[in-house]
Amino acid sequence: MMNALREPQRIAVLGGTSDIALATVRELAAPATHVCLVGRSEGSLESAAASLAGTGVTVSTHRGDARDLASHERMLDDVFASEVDIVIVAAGVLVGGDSAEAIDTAVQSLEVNGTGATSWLLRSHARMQAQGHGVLVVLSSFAVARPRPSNWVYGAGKSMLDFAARGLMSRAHDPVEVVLVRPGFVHTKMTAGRAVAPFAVRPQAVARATARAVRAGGNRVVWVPPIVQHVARLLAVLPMSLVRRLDR
Amino acid sequence: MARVALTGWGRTAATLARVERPASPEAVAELVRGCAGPVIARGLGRSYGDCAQTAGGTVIDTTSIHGISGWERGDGVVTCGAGVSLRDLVNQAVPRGWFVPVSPGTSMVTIAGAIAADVHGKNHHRAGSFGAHVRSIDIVDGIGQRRRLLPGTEHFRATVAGMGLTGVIVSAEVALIPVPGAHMRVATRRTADFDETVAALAEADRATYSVAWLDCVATGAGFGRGVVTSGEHAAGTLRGAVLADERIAAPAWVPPGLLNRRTIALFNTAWHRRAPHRRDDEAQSIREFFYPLDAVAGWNRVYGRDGFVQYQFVVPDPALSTLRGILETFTAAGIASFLTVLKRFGAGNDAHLSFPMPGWTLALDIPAGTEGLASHLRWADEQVAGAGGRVYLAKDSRMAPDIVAAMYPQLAQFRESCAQLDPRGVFASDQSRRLRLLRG
Ligand SMILES: Cc1cc2nc3c(=O)[nH]c(=O)nc-3n(C[C@H](O)[C@H](O)[C@H](O)COP(=O)(O)OP(=O)(O)OC[C@H]3O[C@@H](n4cnc5c(N)ncnc54)[C@H](O)[C@@H]3O)c2cc1C
Repeated sequence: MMNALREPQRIAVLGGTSDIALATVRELAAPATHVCLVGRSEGSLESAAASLAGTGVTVSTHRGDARDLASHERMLDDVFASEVDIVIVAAGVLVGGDSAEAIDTAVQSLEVNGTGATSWLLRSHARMQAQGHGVLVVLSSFAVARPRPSNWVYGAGKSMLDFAARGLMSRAHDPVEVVLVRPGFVHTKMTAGRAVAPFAVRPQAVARATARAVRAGGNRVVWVPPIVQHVARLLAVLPMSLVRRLDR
Repeated sequence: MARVALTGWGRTAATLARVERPASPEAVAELVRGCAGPVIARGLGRSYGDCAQTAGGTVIDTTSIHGISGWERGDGVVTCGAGVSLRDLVNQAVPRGWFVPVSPGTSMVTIAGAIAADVHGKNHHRAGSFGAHVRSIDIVDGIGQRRRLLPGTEHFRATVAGMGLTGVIVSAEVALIPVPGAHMRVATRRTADFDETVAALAEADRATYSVAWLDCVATGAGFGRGVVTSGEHAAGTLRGAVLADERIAAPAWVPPGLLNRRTIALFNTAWHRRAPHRRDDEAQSIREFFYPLDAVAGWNRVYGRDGFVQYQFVVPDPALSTLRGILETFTAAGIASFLTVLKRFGAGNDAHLSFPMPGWTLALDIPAGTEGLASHLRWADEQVAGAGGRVYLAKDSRMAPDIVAAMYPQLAQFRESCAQLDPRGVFASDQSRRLRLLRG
């Protein structure tokens, strides 16, 4: 149970090697918090776990693949062996801009960013509903603001997740809180080597904003940095010709 | 059935649950039999944290179980429905020449809540805690069966201070104390520093009731200064209403951060200055002496949206320096408490999770949004546990499981009783889930 000072006892990260998610764990965790890291590769999970050393948390690692839908419930049985206060849905792969040519890659990314992550979201939500409380932190993206040549495939996957998260927020009398995070460009290992977009931030900035929203309680949409919310508004009304030009 | 958001008096960590308000023991039994998920009883919600709520489960509010009987016997032993408030009891008892044996700082608690937390009062050094005055407890256990628990049995020891986890208390027999009048004779001493406060309080052990208020923001030479009051029941009239409804209400909305380091400091200084240096034989009403905070309805709202934490701990007599160290550290770190109360406890009892032990207890009211509060309290937990003391569960809203197990060595016996009384494991509160009170 989260205590009076909003300190969680158990956090699960689905997509447990995400830089943003790990930074968020560091912001949210108290010394006695237990962290479950779920991911595909044992090796990367181990190094993710090692990166949390010194924070006082205890860590367990669990194998889980967003694309392997049949495995989701079994994995969540482990994670929800005791009550989970916060689930961070962080599974994501970045695919190159207009990947219409590489259809298989595009579809695979949709399976992770869209269907897989959304399955994790919905199943975690059901478990939290059953336990009567919980916070879902959903890592969406600024990319959902408007399709752009450079990243609409990524945006398509994140849009599914984003829409589902807002769907959960729309429900009345739901004991589960949803914090939907839409960062702009974040310097992470996922974006390493890519052209840096304006208003780029570090994972720590996303983590701090997310932790603030979790502590404040209730359903929240968090844009990081805050200005990208206004950029998104603008982007939504610009003519496509201009969007295309800006996207280069 | 709609779910209701519930918190304790500190207004932190709200969770949703179905709330039922049965009016009879039979209705309680039926409810318990029909529940599979977490169930916990609730009284007037005057505990500070999350012990009278359970996320996603059923909260059985027992405030509709009324009734006080047994006056005709004339021996001061009365049978009270679980939901009888101390206010109701005092109002009926005083005109007949009786008074509640133990009074917490508010009269707005139920008999069941007083037993479930084994509350203490200003007379702890003489009278012990509430459980010592209970002759029998009727509960509905985890399979919906009614049982009568008698002092000296394991199940009684688990239910007193059991935080609602052994079952739903539906009624109890309580032994009242005789009083010669409806007024108190009060002595007040204003003290200049910590040592003086402690000495005055130790001297006040001779009185039936004693307590000290501390100025928690004074530093340097004035550190630990305060006001020590002690009192006796005075002979006089027994007539007239004793406890009425609150006279004023706290505003429904307060500016965020109204209570901060600065305003708390101002209040503390003013309060200290206002007290007389020394006054004896002052006549006070029962309300003024025992329940001064009851004059303002909903005063907990003054802490604003974030709510507040009450941190109350006890350390054994020889560890007074630990208590002093905690107070010094908090004062230096700007962890300001609006209301700080110091009291000396007498002997404890054998209830498994009872809080009092011989020594010194300090209670601090701290806004939950205070910077650095979590880590300072964690540090204090360790100091307290290390000194052989403990933190009061009725006030707790933020501890961690391991430290609680260290503070309450009888947790294993408690769990055993719970398993016997509730084999299905239906009773659980947010607090018991957070602190793993029912399983390791
Ligand atoms: C201003 C103020 C001053 C206080 N001063 C003191 C003090 O001086 N000394 C002290 O000891 N305490 C003090 N308290 C704390 C208070 O006395 C206890 O928390 C008490 O338990 C509150 O009773 P309640 O009826 O409000 O119970 P709740 O807060 O509703 O519940 C408290 C616990 O009792 C259990 N419970 C309630 N009803 C039942 C039932 N029918 N069957 C089984 N379990 C039940 C609940 O499950 C919960 O674990 C103070 C509180 C306030 C707000």
